[in-house]
Amino acid sequence: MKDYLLLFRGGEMQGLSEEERNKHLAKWGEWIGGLAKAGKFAGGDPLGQEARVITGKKMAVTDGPYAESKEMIGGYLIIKADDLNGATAISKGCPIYEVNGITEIREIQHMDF
Amino acid sequence: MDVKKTGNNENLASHLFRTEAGKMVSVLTRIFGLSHIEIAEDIVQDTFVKALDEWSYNNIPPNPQAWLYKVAKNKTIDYLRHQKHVQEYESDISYLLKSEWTLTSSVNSMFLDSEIQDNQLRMIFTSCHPALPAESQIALTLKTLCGFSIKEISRALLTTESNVNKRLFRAKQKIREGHFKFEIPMGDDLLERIDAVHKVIYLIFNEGYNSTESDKIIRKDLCAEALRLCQLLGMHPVGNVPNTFALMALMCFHASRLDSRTDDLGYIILLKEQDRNLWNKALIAKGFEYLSLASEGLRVSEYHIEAGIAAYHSSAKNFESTDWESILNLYNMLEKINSSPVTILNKSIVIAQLKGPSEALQELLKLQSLDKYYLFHSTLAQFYKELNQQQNALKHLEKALKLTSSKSEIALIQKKIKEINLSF
Repeated sequence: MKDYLLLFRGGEMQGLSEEERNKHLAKWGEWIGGLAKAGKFAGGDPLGQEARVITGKKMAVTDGPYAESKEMIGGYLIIKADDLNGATAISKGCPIYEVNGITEIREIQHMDF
Repeated sequence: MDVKKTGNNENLASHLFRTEAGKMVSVLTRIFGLSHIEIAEDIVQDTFVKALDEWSYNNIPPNPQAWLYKVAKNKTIDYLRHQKHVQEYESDISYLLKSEWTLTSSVNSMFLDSEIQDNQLRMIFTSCHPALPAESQIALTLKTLCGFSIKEISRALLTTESNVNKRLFRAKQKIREGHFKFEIPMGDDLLERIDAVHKVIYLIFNEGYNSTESDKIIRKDLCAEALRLCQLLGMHPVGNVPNTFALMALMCFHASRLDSRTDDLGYIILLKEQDRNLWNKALIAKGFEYLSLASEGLRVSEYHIEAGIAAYHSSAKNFESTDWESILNLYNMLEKINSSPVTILNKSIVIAQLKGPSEALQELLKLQSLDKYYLFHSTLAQFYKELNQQQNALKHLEKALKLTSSKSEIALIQKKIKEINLSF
């Protein structure tokens, strides 16, 4: 089993009514709950909208993410899977695609010096 | 600030403490796991401190229960957030508590009515676990399910606060070491575990009903809590068994006489002299309802028989018209199931009503094992008195006097001694 980071980008939540929004979030809970029951969940949280970006040696600070909202990272999850294909299959269960979101799947690299 | 109003708020808070503390501790124990019962208890305690604090200055919120749950939920979520990367919980939802994706919704879902009910049952079965010593079971049940403080438990069980603390400490240690699971037992295990729960409820009730030393308010609370726990058990599919209802019936009948058992000063009034108009008719009616529910099974338990005996007393217009014959039959049945000396002692009192003091005396004299029990001697004295053997009666009353330290029991015995001395 390896650890995979899922980065969630975009997703059009603004257009949803409060009820639709809660329904959608409940699906996230169900999905993550299912992963946890199967022993495939290792952590993760949603992220706030406000952000700072610090760049380069000069550490130039700018407000907000540099991407458009459809590419903004809305949260992350760490899951356990055998390989990238397994992680991809798991990620297809995420409710984010209902709101046109994007998931990026990356293996967590072990730093063995 | 209106003093009277503050008093009311405190009353409301303490009433709510009794009914809601157990629910909240049970739910939070489900969240944190049995090894962390203390965290659950602390959060509930903090919630009530906040309630007392805010309700005395502002008005009571329109829905106090919802207010308490909201505060407890928020405190729980705060706690979990702070401990997120530090503490492990063994409950099966612990992983959901570690992520903000699911934290709030998981905590909220634990406060749904059905979950509250299940978790209280889990707590009942844990606190009444047969592997715990009886005295710890009672203390733990009062603490976790009935919202009793250490001080109240010590007053209820007539022991010191440090003793109560020791019992609770040992119980919690045993729960941790034994890796108890916070669950409702199933299958073969269930029957034995329910028996243990009945026993603890019965003991708590008796603590309230029979104790003549602890104060009246605590005694009433103990009886009320025993009734509440038993009702809770009976409402759940797992506890919905004839014995639960028999126990419930028994306690209803006894509780109906609670107010007429002692006078304003707390002194005992004997059954014969009780004002039957003071008996609580609603509770007696409830007793009969539960008794009919209890009769649906095949197994006749001690609770059934004792409830039957209590039912005959409750339905008698006065002491003289009591159906002693039927009561004696029930005592004979009880003796077959559980021939404890106390059962035989009580039976002898019934024999005295039916066949006179001479036969009753013969029966009772078989019970030398009760020589250290004050009721044995005071009952013997009663029979001797009726047989006009005043010297023997006095002798046993003196013995009884030495065997009790309860003020109201001493007063009762002294009254009897005085009566005999006056009759000379």
